[in-house]
Amino acid sequence: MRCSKAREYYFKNRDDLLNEAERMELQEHLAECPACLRFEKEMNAGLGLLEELSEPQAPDNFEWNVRRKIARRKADIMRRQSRFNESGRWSLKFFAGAAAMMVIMLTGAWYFLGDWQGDLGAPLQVSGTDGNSGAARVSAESDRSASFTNSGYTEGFRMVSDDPYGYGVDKNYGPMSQELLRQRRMNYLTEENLILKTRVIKLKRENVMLRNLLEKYSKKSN
Amino acid sequence: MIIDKSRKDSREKSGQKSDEELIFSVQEGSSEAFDQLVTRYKNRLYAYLLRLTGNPDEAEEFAQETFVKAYINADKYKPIAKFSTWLYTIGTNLVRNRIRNRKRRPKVWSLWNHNLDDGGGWMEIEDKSQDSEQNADRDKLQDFIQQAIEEIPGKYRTAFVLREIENLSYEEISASTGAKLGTVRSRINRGRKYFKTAVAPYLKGDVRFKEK
Repeated sequence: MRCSKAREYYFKNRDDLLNEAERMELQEHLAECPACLRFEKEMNAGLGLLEELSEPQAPDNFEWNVRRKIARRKADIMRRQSRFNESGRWSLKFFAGAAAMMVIMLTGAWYFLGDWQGDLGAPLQVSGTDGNSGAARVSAESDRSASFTNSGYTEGFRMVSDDPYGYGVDKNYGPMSQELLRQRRMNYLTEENLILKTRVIKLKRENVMLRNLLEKYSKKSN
Repeated sequence: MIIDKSRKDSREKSGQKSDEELIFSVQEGSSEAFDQLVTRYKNRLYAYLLRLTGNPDEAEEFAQETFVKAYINADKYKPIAKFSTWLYTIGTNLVRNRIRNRKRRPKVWSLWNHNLDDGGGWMEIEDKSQDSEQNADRDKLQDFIQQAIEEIPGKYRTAFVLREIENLSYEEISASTGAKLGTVRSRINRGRKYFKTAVAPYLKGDVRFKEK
C-alpha cells in the first residue's frame, strides 16, 4: 500500500467508512511505515484537542432579541406590501393610460404613413355597403378587397387596425373585439377578486399572530 | 452523529415534539412552536457560527438572523432534509454572503484575516472564572484552538467545523453547503490537515499554557 492511499484510508477510518479488510490493510501499513504512523499520531493528537472546546452558550437575551427582530421584520413586510398595493394601483392606472396613448399614436402613424407613402396599391373604390354592420365595402384596382368599419373615417382610406391579421373580406371585427374585451374584463375581475380574498385571509392570520405576540409580551412585562 | 442521536433519544423519552413536527406547527401559525425550536437550537447554532466567525458579536447577530429567516420562510421548509440541516444551511449562507460582500470591499476588516498585532484574532469564549488560574489556562488553550480553526481557509473551515465539531454526516454537510459528496470529503480532509499544522506548535511543546 502506498503512503498516499494509507492517509486516505486514515481519514476514511476516522469517519467509519472502512470495511474490515481495508482496516487490516491500513494497520499493516502503519506497522511498517514510521512516517504514516507519525502522521496518524499527530493527526489524532491534533483533532483530539477539539474535545477541549466547550460549547459556548448564547447570550441570555437571545430569544427575546429573536422575537423582537421577527416582530419588526413582519411589520416591515406588511408595511411594504401595503405600500406596494397603493403604488401598484397607481402604476396600473399610469400604464393603462400610457398604453392607450400608444395605441392612439400608432393608429395615427399608420393612418398617415399609409396615405403619404402610397405603397398600399392603387386607390380604393367603394363598391357597396355591408347590410348588417353598415361597413363600407371597398375594393382596390388590384382586385384586393377588404371590409372597413365606417366609424367616422373618410371613405377610401384603408385602416390597418380594421384588418390587423389580413383576414380580408367579410369579417366584421367590431362586435367581435367588444365581446373579447368583455370576456377579458370578466376574467381580470375574477382573478383580482381571488387575489383580494387570499390577501384578506393572510392579513387576518397575521393579525391573530400579532395579537397573540402582544398578549404574550404584555403578560411578561406585567 | 452520536450527539445528534443522544439528543433525539432524550427528546423522545421526554415526550417532546420532533423538530419537524414543531416546524409544521410554525407553518400553521404557532409562534410557541418556534420559541421551542429557538430554545432547542440557539446554543448549537451560536457555537457553530462562533467557530466560523471567531467573533461573539457577529456570531450572535448571524444566529439571530438565521432564526428570523427561518421563521419568515418557514412555509418554504420541506421535510426532504432535517430541520437542523436547513438551519445550518441558512446560517452558513449568511456567513458566506457576508464574506463575499467584504471581499468586494477589501478595505473593510476581513472576517477571515485577523490581525494578530491588535489581538483581533483572539476571542473570548467564556469569562466566568478569571480568578482561577487553572481556568485561565484552559481559556488560553481554547483561544489557541479557536485561532487554529480560524487559520483554516473559509470553504474548508465550514466543512471541517460541521464534521468535527457539529458531528454532521457527509450527506448533511453536502445539503448544508451545496457541495457534492466528494468535494465535502476532500474539504473536510484538507481542513483537518490545516488544523493539524496550526496546532503543531502546541503538540511539539513550542507553545505552553501552564508555565507556572
